[in-house]
Amino acid sequence: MRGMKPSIGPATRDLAGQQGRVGIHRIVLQKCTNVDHMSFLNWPVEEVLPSRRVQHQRRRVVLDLLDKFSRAFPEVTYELRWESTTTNAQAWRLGSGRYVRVYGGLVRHRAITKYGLALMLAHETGHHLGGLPHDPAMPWMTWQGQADYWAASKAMPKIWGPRARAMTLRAAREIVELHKMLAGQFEDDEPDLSPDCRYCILCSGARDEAMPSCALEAFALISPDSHGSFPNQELSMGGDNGRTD
Amino acid sequence: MGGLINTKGTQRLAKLFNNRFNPLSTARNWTNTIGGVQTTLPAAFRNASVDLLALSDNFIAQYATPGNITWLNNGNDLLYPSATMTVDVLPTALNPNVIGFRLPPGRAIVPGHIQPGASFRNLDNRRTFQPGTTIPGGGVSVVAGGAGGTFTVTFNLNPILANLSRLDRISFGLGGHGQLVRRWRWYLAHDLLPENHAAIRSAISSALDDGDFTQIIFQTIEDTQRVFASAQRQTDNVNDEFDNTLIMYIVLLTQQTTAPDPLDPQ
Repeated sequence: MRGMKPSIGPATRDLAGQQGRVGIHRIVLQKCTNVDHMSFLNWPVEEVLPSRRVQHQRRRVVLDLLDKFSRAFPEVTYELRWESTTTNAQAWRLGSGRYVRVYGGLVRHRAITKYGLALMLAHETGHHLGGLPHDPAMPWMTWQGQADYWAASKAMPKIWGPRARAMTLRAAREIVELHKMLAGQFEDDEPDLSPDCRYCILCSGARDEAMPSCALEAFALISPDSHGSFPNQELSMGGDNGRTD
Repeated sequence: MGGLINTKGTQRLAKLFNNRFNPLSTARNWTNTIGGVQTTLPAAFRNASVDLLALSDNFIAQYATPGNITWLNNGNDLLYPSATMTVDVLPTALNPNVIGFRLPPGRAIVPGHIQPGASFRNLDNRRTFQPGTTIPGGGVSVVAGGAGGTFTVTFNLNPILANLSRLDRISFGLGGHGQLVRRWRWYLAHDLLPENHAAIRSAISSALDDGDFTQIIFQTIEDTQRVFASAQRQTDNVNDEFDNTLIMYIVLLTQQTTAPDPLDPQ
């Protein structure tokens, strides 16, 4: 129920016409050399390329997952940027279009299996569909901690059914391990939510427990306007399943 | 942009721009004063011959037009996460670790980001301050002479005089993010393509000039460099029908930077 004005500016493009379509980029791996650790986005990058066989296997796994998520959450467009060495994933938005983008450096990372990749996709989806609280800095999207909680409590069960809990707990360990392995690349520019707290959030979500206190404290720190309060648990646990405005 | 791994530096820049342009009704009133000439933010963004680096440099704390609606109350830069002042009085033999600054006419309070413990960089000469230089407690003086008066910043180590000139721009930031401004300015100067400077400027200008726009949302995505801009009409919460307000989405797709400055310690 939203209208779009034409795009503005000589070098701009409007993605509105692509909404609703699954955009999976299939790009041949390019040689990853001259890795510059000083990303403008300040994100970690991969340091070691796995073998061709492993790369092929990883790519097949992530494409299969993207297909699963595209069918489970058709309001989100999922993309793979395979040639990127960035070890990360992103949720972003243009008008009413909602996008999740996964970078090759994360897909190929040795600390992550298909379970970790699934939880990562669930987390990014949670930025779009996870409900309150929203990120104080980017109020169009669900806050990082709530995206984790929604991923573990809602998205993973939707994808994996009864197997979700065990898979999520395993995936949570992988995400924490990844954080620790990448810590050296942050160069003291620390994540806004500690790995230990993220692990607690993911486990709490998987076990249908309440949001842990470390998350409430972390949110209060970055959201002075909240006066230390967290949106009510019903909203924070359930998400809005599509309404983020 | 939400990421699996978010870091404070990235968040800080995103927060700055999303906060500055929300609500736009506030941003439309911001006005700088350079050489006695006042220019509003919308007028500055209308000028197609000025790139984003120059625009940002023209709205530093030194050029504030003090007032309830013409600038931020804390007096900081509008388009950097910092407070940038030009050097008024160089260190002397008697006070080799003291730099003097003069507030903009009409302002009587030191900008918020200039305080003990702040990080700082000379934007015009990166070799001005020795490693380990800090602003100790009590290092920022009170303002002398009231509005438009002067104040001094005392450092624990002497700045290198050969690398410091009068009117050099000293950028002060909180939380150890001093390099963030340098890295962002490098990006604007060297990495952001001219057509993308123009695209972002044009999109911001369109939103500033159209009263139906209430907010600009900025996001950055890793990709081949280009810019997407799109306006979204909002719906009211009661009837789910279109109201008259719009949000401008600006998405910068960009590759890694070539910035020579390291990431910030915190």
